[in-house]
Formats: sequence, structure tokens, C-alpha cells
Amino acid sequence: MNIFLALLTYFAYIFIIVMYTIKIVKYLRLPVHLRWDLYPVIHEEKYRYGGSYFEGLNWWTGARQKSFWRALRYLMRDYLYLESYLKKNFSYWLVLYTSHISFVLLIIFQILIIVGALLSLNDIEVSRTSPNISGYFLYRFTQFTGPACFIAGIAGNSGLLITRFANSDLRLYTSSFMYFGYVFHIVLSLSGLIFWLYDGYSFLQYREFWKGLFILNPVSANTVLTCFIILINLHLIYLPFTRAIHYITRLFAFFLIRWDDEPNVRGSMLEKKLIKLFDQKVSWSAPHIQTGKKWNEQ
Amino acid sequence: MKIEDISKKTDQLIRIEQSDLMPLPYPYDNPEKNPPMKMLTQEQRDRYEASLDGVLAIGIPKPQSAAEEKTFIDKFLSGLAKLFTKENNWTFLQPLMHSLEYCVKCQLCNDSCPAYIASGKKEIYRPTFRPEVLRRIINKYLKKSPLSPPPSQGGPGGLWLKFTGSDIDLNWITVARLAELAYRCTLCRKCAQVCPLGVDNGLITHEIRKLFSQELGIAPKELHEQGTIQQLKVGSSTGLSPKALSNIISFMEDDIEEKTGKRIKIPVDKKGAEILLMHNAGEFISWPENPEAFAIIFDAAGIDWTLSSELVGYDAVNYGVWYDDIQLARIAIAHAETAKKLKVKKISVGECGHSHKAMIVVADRVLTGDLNIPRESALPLLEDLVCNERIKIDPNKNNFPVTLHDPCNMVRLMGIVEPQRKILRKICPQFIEMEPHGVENYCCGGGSGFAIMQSMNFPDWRSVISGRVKLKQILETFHDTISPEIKKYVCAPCSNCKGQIRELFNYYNVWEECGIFYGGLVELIVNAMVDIEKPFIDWEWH
Amino acid sequence: MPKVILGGTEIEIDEDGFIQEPGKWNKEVAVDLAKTENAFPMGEDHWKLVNYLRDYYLKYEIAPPIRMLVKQTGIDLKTIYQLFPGGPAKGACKIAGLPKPTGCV
Ligand code: SF4
Ligand code: SF4
Repeated sequence: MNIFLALLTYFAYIFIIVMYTIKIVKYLRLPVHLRWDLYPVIHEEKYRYGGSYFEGLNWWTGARQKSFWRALRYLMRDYLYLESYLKKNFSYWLVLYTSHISFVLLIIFQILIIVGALLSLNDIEVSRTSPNISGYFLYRFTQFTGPACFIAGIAGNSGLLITRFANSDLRLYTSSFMYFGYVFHIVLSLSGLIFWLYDGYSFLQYREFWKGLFILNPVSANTVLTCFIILINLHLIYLPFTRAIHYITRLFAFFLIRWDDEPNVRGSMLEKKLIKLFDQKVSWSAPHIQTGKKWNEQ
Repeated sequence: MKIEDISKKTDQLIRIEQSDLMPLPYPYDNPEKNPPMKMLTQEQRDRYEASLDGVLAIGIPKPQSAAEEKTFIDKFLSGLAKLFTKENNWTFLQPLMHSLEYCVKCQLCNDSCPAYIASGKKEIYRPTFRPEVLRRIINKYLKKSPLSPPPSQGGPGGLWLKFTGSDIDLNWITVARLAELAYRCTLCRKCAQVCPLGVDNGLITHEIRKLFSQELGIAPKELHEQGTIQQLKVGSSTGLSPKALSNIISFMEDDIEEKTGKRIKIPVDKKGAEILLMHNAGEFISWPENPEAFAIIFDAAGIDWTLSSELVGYDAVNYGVWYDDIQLARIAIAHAETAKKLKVKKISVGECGHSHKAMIVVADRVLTGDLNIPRESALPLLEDLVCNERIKIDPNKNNFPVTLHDPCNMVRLMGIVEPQRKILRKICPQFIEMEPHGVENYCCGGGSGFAIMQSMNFPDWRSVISGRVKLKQILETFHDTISPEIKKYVCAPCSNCKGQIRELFNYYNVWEECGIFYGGLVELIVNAMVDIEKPFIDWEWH
Repeated sequence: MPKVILGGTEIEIDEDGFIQEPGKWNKEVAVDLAKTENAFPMGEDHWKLVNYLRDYYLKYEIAPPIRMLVKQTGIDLKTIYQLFPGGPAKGACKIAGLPKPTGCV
């Protein structure tokens, strides 16, 4: 069992890292596209009312004022409290926000556990009575994030489950797989919560398990912890099959698509890329298209 | 109704009933008095696939044999596969992939769709409906997953697909309905604007249209045969030849003289001019007062400009932007070549929204090397002329209520928001904004080619469904002055929007019942020019 | 495309009743088309407009701007609508055997 748990954990982490890397690399390696901007574009000077540099006479002559940071801040704000939903639909926002909080806390919780394991490997005690200040705070943080994550996970996902089922607009577009996802989160959170209660609120055994993983010496886990570990690993494996990576792709969509207003300047890198793209053969077969000829021969 | 119902062989997926529609304000608040939508004739229904909503934009003939059905479906699938290849669709691959993969189906975008709200929330018009149908087809018939072998091979695939929500049947009726359905969205992208995840359902519509056009040669004839094909062949999608253009230009010169007492020579093919002004050729035919007004303003300000009489060069339109990337590129290049030949410093696009977006924004990544000639909107120039008083204006001449319609292509999709407003604030003392406006405006209902699609009962659909929210907005804006005795003006600086608003107003008799007139921006400018004695706006001309 | 008998000959028309074979147009065809457009019987002014449109079309392969039509025939827009309830483009042009207008018009 020890070996199995360890292997499953290694596998889950490698799997999710590999899958996510593939996804992101694939996304970023897609060719540059035709412009499809949508205003307001927040890095633009006149973003308040959605203005662009096209409002200027001879726009290609002026210097462009572009604020990447403002754009990033704008997107971050939505991460912090899902502003778009808050504005539109409070009850949906409430359950959605709770479930997102739980997701973020789960990531933080895992990191805290892993860091805790690393600290204690370096002889820094992680406990309520630790003489080391980082050890102490890490312990307290973990103690807080864990249950907060599990409770939010149960509340948020049950809320989502009910909302998506009760509202006919949402139900129509909710697949069994999505319901399964909510249930999965709830079960995972429940098992975490039980483990927390069982473990005397300390997560000590979970940290020990991670220590074992680092020194390649799997330690044994009790049934409650085993369930939790299996679920959390299955969850990692399951994630790449969901849209959870929208945390990241959302940034790409704004920066690379919606706000991509980079003008094509003669002799630029962009122009070189475009010339290459136009040099490809087209295989569309409608009568008005010269199938087999290149874009630039059409 | 369920998503998978799109595959069911029913007579009609939805029915448009007056009583379901979004209510309109006074004087159209009694649904029974509003004109009913024209129905297709039985003969038309027999000939074309009209089982979506009883409306025809494309009119796909019903198949004659099982073999024909199969070819149709196979071609659809091969086209679908090509949408995901770099060589065939690098132009929109990244946006397409994103929008297909990352929608979380929260339905936050639903209420921003004018067609969906106007119809009384008919499922098939929901912004997420089309993409969902497409996603299911892709999951079931295109993706090669070990867990979901094609249902023809039976096995657990069916169950897995059901579990993941990819339940759909691909048959002739699904494909034909999807094609029609791609022409029930105006590509206004208001839904995309509110999506927190950057998903663009309008873009998915655009890609579906492309797949049908580029692989199956299916598109509304007004956009394709009579649109881009005719433009590349005859010079303009209106059929206007250089010979007819020159006849109309001399008519315009006479008309200007009659209205203003001044004889202006409209420059054509002037080599080396500062500005090549490109109009939507529809303006010459339907609204010659608009290019006339440009000529009067440019003449008064002493601008060095010219029109072109080169094929394609005198028609700024590029319908390719709505349904076909290849046609888009061909026309964009033809436009640029005109400017190159004339050796002008820049191209300025007149009052036509989609030409703005196609020529200035989208084509920016089509035109390389010496074809990449500076291109801009005419609005900043007009703003400069009016606001910096390079022409003399007396705003009192425009002392009537005016509101502004924001063409999606120019505003939400391009960020030209303020120049037209600065002008109106300067020249129209009674200028009022609609709500919402600017980048959050609602489409006129004629976007993405709808305004020119005139066949069978599609124009009625436009007036009843896609233009309904705009009509409501206009009526609400003029709520306090709604009586027909008070003349009011909707300024729509876009040929397509004007066409749509004209039809909308005719359909509901808006001039007679409410005294609302529509027109462009330059007409208002000329109407307020100090040097022009007679009013330029001809209110009776509606 | 459907075919109908107009002025005694079989002529192809489009979905909206515009004839597709402009060569087959003659006065009898016009009269039959006028019946479908509530512009029957055709009086002098009807013919004046129809003939103007026809001549312009034969010369330029397109319908003239309505403004031009009004100016050159001296018949104002209101009267045109009275004569051709379908309006100048959908009514008068159809009767004059012009194809349906295309593009952003
Ligand atoms: S497109 Fe965006 S707003 Fe609409 S349902 Fe999908 S994720 Fe939600
Ligand atoms: S692009 Fe506009 S018309 Fe199309 S679905 Fe979105 S909101 Fe509706």
C-alpha cells in the first residue's frame, strides 16, 4: 500500500505537470491570427470608454502608450472576486466564488504541506510549539487553510450542484461529467475534513507522508489518510480533463486575442511571420477556391 | 427544448409568435397591431430546408438522394477538420480553439444578445447554443478518443459521450440547420464582451460560416455570388461599373450645385493625392447625399483627396470579413493595390462600419510589404475639421433631437468611440445618447451582412427579431419627443446600419408614427455649415 | 429557380419575383408584373418611370439612384410610392425587369 500511494502521488504530479505543459505550449505555439480585437482594450490610453489608437489622425505616426500593468491589474481583479459574476448574478456568484476559493485554498494547502515536509526534513519543527517562527506560522496556516478549503469546497460545490440543477438555463448546458465534478470535489473535501478531525487537527501524518516521498522512503498511512491521498491524486489526474486551466488560458485569451492590437509594421517580426503563413497551401475545396494553391496565390 | 433536438426531424424547431417577443415601447406596445412576419410559401418550404425557424437566409435545397445527403455530411466533416489545421485556418485558429475549449457554460453572456432577448429567449438563438452544437459534433465525430469510438462501432462510446454531454446526431438536417443558424447571429460580439473567460461565441458563428463557404460553397448569395464574387469581377457588390460610377458622380456634382449653389469638381483617380477616400458603393446609389457631403466638407477645408474609379477601388466593402477568409484576403489586396497604383499617402474609409474593420483592422495582417499602405477612418479627420473649426459651423441649424447609433464594427470592434461624439456635441445642440451606447451599444440588427440579405422572409426576421432591441432603444431615447410633429434624427455613420434602420423604420412606419429620420454624420455637418444656405438634410426623403 | 408565365412567355424568376432573364422583358411582361405589385393598371407616369429605369439599366447595368430617378422624371418620391406601393427599388425596378438590387443599397 505504501508503495502504491507513493507511486500514485508521483504519477499524479508528473501527469498534471506534463498535461498542463502540453496544453499551454500547444496554445502558445498556435500561429499568429488575424486581428480580432474587442474593446475596451485595457492597456490603451483611452480604455475608460473603450477608445483605441484608431481615434487619432494618422495613428501610425504617434507613439503608443501601452500599459501592460493596468491590463494585468484589471484581469487580477476578476481573479480576486470574480467581479463580472458579482455584478450580474449574486446568488450564482456566491456559490461560484466559494468553490473557487476552495480550489485556490487547496493549492495553497498542498504547497504548505509540501513546504512543511521540506522544513521538517531540514530539522525545522512544524508544530504549534515550534521554536522556529516559520515552523510555527506554517503550522498555523496549514491548520487554517485545510479546513477552510474543505468547508468551502463542500459548500461551494453543493451550491453549484444545486444551482446548476435547479436553474433550467444552466441545467440544459450541464453534462453529467460536470455534476460528477461537483460531487468529486465534495467527496474530496469531505475526506479532507474527516482526516483533519481524525488527525487531531494537525495534518502531521500528511506531512510525514510527504517527507517519505522526498526521501524515497514511503511511510504507511492509515485508512482515512489513504482515502484522502488517493482522492487528491485522482483529482490531480482528473483536472487536465476539465476546464480548470481556464485560470491561465483566460490570461492568454485577453492578451493574445481580445487585446491583441499590435499593428503590422513593414519589416517587423510580425510581418515576417505573416509572410510565412501566407506561403502555405490551402486545401479548402469550395469552387471559388484554388485548392492546393497557396494563400498568396489565391 | 434540448440541444440534441437540432438533429430531430421535426417540422420546425421553434416558432416565432408575436406574443413571445420582447415588448416594444409606445406606439408599438400592442403586439397585435405590429405587422406579422411573412411566412414562407409551401412551395418554398418544399424546396428548401426551412425546419430551423421557418426563416431562410441561405435557402439550402433539400437533398434528392441518400447519396447526396452523405456527401453533404462528409464534406461538412472534412471542412470541420480543416478548421483545426494551421495551413487552412491559421487566420483564426487560436481564437477558435480558445472559444471552443474554455466556455464554462455559465450563461452570463445570454442577456447581452439582442437576437436572443428580442425573440423572447428562444433556445436556438442563445449565444451558447450554436457553439454547443458544434462542440458536440466535434467531440463525437472528430476527436479520436479511445473512450469514444464512433457510435457506428457501438461499444461504450455512446455512454461516455452521453456522460460528457456530447449527445448529438449528425444527419442532414443537423448540418443544414446549423448552416442556417450561423445566419441568426450578427457577429456583434456583445456576448464576447461580457464573457469573463474571453470566450467569443460570435467568433464561433464566424467560423461555422467559413466552414460552409470555404468547403461546401454554401453562403447567402447576397454575400457570395452577388457579393464578393461580383465585386471582384464587376468592381462592386452593387454591380456598379466604372461607367455607371462616373455617371453618378456627375449627377452628384449637379446635385451639389443645386443644393449649395457651388460647383464642386469631385476628384477621381487623382495621382499622388493625400487621401484616397473609399466609400461603400451602396452610398452612391442609395444615399448619394453622403458622398456629396464628404465632397462639400473636403472642398471647404481644402483637403487634397480623390476617389478611385478602379474596379474594387470604388467599393470599400469587404463581405469576406463575415464569412470567408479567402475572399476577405482577395478583396483587401485589391483595395490596397488601388491605393498603391494611385500613389496616395493614405486610404481614408468613409461611413461604413464593416469596411472600417475589414480594411483597417483585420486586413492589417493580410497586407504586407508595399501593400501595407496607411489606412484610417475618416472620422478623426472630420473631428479635426469640425472641432478645430477648419470649417465654419452654426449648430443652431441642427436644432432638433439627434441620437447616435454606434456601428459595432467601428466602435466595439475597433475602439473609435469619441470622434463622432465630439462632432455631434459641437454641431447638434439637442444631441442625446442612447442607453447603452459606445462600446456597449446594441447592434442595429443588420450586422454581418444581414442588412443586405433581402431574400424571402429574412428581411422580416431582421425587423422583427434582430433589429428589435435597436428599435426599442431608439424609441426610448426619443420618449419625450415621440410625437411625429417633432422631427428627430438617428445618426448612423455606417451604410449597413443605415440600410437596416431604413427597413426597420419602413416596417414599423416609424417616420409617419414617430417622426424619426435616419442618416449619416457628414449630412449633419453640412447641414450646419455656415456657408451653405439651404438645409442639406431633406426630411421628406425617407 | 421557379418559372412563371409572364406576358405569354415562360420566364425564370427569383424567390422574390424579380425576373432572371432580362432579355425576355417586354411591355406585356411589365404589365403582368405590375399586377403582382399592385401597380395595375399602368398609366402614363408608371410607364415614364419604368421606361426610365429600363433605359438606364440597359446603359449602365444597374438601377439609378432614386434621387436621380426623381429628378430626371420629375415625379416625386411620394407619387412614386403611390404608383408603386412596393417602392422604387422593389416595385418599379421589378416591373422594369431589373434584377434585384445587390450590395449595401
Ligand atoms: S461564453 Fe463565457 S459567459 Fe457565455 S457561457 Fe461561456 S463562459 Fe459563460
Ligand atoms: S455575437 Fe451578438 S448576435 Fe451573435 S450571439 Fe453574440 S450577442 Fe448574439
